This record gives sequence, C-alpha cells and structure tokens, in this order.
Amino acid sequence: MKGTLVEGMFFFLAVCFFTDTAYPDERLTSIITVFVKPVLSCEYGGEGMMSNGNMWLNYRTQDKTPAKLYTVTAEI
Amino acid sequence: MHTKRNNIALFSFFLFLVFVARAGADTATTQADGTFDVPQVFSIAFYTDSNVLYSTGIPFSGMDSTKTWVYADGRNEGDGKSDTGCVCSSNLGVTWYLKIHAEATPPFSLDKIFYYFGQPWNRTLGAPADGQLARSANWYNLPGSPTVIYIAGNGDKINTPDGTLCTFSFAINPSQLAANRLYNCRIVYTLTTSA
Amino acid sequence: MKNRKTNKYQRKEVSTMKKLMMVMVMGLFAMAIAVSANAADQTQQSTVNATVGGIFSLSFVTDDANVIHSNLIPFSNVDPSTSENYSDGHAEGKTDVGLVCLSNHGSTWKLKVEMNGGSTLFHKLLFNMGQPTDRNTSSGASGSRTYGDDWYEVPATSTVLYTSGDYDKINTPYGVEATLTFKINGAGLVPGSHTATVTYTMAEVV
Repeated sequence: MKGTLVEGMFFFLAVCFFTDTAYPDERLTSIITVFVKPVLSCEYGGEGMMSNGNMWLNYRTQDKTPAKLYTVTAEI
Repeated sequence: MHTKRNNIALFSFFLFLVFVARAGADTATTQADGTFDVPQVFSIAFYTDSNVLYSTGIPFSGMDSTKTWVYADGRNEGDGKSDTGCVCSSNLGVTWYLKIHAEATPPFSLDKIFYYFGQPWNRTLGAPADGQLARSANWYNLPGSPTVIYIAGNGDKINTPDGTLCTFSFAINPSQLAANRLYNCRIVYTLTTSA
Repeated sequence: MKNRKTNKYQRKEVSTMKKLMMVMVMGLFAMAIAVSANAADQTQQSTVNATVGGIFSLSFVTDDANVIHSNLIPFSNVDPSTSENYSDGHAEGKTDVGLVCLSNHGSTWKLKVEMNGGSTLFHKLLFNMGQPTDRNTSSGASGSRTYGDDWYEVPATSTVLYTSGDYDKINTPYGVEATLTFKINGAGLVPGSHTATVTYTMAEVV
C-alpha cells in the first residue's frame, strides 16, 4: 500500500513536470462610447412671426421617436 | 692524449651550459651567498570577496526577456562589484598574457553574452597594475578562441606574493530566448607566456 | 721535419677551435630550448548558467502618436445618415487601438476579438486590421490573418483575428503589434448615447 502510494506520487509529479500547459489567456477591453446626433428633417410643423418680428419654424425628427418638436428662431 | 683531454673538457663545458639553462627554467634557483631557493610561481586562481561575487559558476536566473541587457544575479548597473576575479601570480620575470574565450552550448550563442574587463590591480604593490589592456575598458562579446586581453607590465613580471587581480563582469541579452530552459556557456581564463 | 711538426700542431688547433665553436652553438641552442620550455599555460573556468523567465502578455500601445486610443474609444458625433463614422481624432494614417502581443513560450498563440452582443451597436460597429508588425524587425509579422483588408462587423463571440507564425512564438523583447480601426454605421441608430465593450484576447495554443 505504502509502495503504491509513493509510486503514485512520483507518477503524478512526472506527469505534472512533463505536461506542457498553456499560459492563461490575456485580455484587454475597449469601451466604445457613441453619441448619435439628431438629424433635423425637412418635415416641419409650421412657421410664423413672433411679436418681436423674429421668425419661428417648427421641425420634427424624421423618425418621430420620440416625437419631438424643435423650434428654431431666426433673428432678423 | 692531448686531444682526448680536450674533448673531455669540451663535453664538460657543453654539459655545464645545458645544466645552467635547465636549472634556470625548472627551479629558478639562485644561489647568493650560498643557501636559499625560490620556487617558481606561475599561477591563476579565483579570487572572491564581498565585491567579487562568483568564481566557477555565474548565475543568471529568470532573466526578463523584455530587456536586452541583464546582469548576473545580485548585480546592478554601477554597483561597484564584479562577477569573477582571477589572481595572476608570477615570479618568472618575463612578460605574461591573460587571455579569455568562451564556449556556448547551442541554442545559446556567443553573440548574446558580453564581458567587461578594466585595468587590473597589483595586490602586492597596492596600486593599479602597470600592464596594458589589449582593448580599452568596455563591454565586448566573448571571443570563441583564446584572445589576449591584458599584457603584463614590468611590475607584473614578478608580482609575488599577492599577484595581480583581474576582475570581470558579464551581461546577457535574453531576447529571443525561450522561457523555462537552461542555457550554458563556459568561460576560460588563460595565463600564458605566449602572446 | 720541423715543418711537419708545425703542421701537426696547426691542424690540432684548428680542430679544437671547431669543436669549441660547435659546443658553444649547441650550448646556446640547449639554453634556448630550456628557457622556452618553462611556464606552461595556466587556466581557470567559469560556467554561466542562465534561465529566462516566461512571458505571455497582451498590452495596449501607448508610445505611438499614430495610435490614438486604447481602453476608451469615443465616437461623439455620429451621423445617422452615413455609414462612415470614425472615432474622435481619427485621421488618415492613424489607427484607433494598438495591441502588443509578447511571448517567449515558443508556442502558437491567437489574437481574438468580440463585442457584447446585447449592445445597440451590434452589427453597427465595424473594424479593420492590417497585417500585424514584428516590432523586433519592424517588418510584417510571420503569422496569418483571418480577415482580409476590408471592414467587418465586430463579432458577438470571440473570433480569431490572427494566428502567430514561427517568428512570433518567441518574439521578445518587443513583441508583435496589431492595430485596429473602427467605424460606425449610423443608419438606424437612435440619437443619443450608445456603448459597447470590445474584448481582445491573446490565447496560447499548446
């Protein structure tokens, strides 16, 4: 029994010694941060004159998701 | 009779010349006022102290292969130490030469190992030795055949009892060497009277 | 009679002189041999025993002005009307990310890439990678790419980009450098912020 245990230990050590094991994987990460700018479409809701004489124009984003109304004023 | 006596005298004279020459070489025997012999000394021996760390074995363990210049274990740039030291002793009264060469076991090659050798030290006189370096003190690749690195000066020709100390440092470029294997290189220091 | 006696002594003198000269020459020769035969060479030997520590690493390039990003790659002005949106600071001749693969294990290794598939940028984030460079020789590395010179979607599962060649297996001290450039196809992207994580893996093949 004792002899078998000793022989087994030597066999285990020999296997460990002679078996080539891979290095652990090396990893890195990049975080991609993105800001998608809105694009104003030609779809507009109307235009008008403000009391101060400035023009106003309403536009909607093309995909309407979420539906947003943008008011553009132009100083004349 | 006269001729025979002459021949004997001439032969004796010949033997005398040979005896004197051989005696001068083998035993360096001088006799002054009759009674002391000085044994011949011509030897090279390793020297170690707190600043000369190694002799027969020089370890470079676990070299960092991202570097191109690695010193022996325990050594750093400008630490004032040496890897090996050899004491060259002579009382022959003739010029001697110190040579060095190395033999690398493949896949290790001599283009990866360098040595530094500066002006030796005459330990008997307690002063820099007065001989000549074959090349200025710098880092060089170890040669593959015995190459003169130092030519003894007048003070080295008889430098007993303490000899002339020659010290060496080594460096290895570990790039392109595989991990986890042992590389060997044998360095030979030769003390000789032949240039 | 007188002359004959004189001649005999003269002959003897000449003979003796010759013998003396010969002995002197032989004596000098013997001395020369004796002097040169002394002081045999003396030697000592040291043995250098050297081992190399193992290295297997992946790192970002940080010392090249033509590699503009590393662990963070911003696209702060993506136009959804175009498929050609590049990272901030991008210019001709520059790349987004540089990866240095170092190994002295003597084995094949592979460089892989993936992104988190749940990101809204999946199918929108594309990459291009040229032939990696052997930084020791400043020439093309000896391995092979999986993808050619084109733009490809960053995959959602770890996919091999490059398999090392013979000279890559021990590539110290400077390693092999792979550079990647990304672009975003803005079509269909909702205005606002989006993020993705791109993972690079260096894996050894034993």
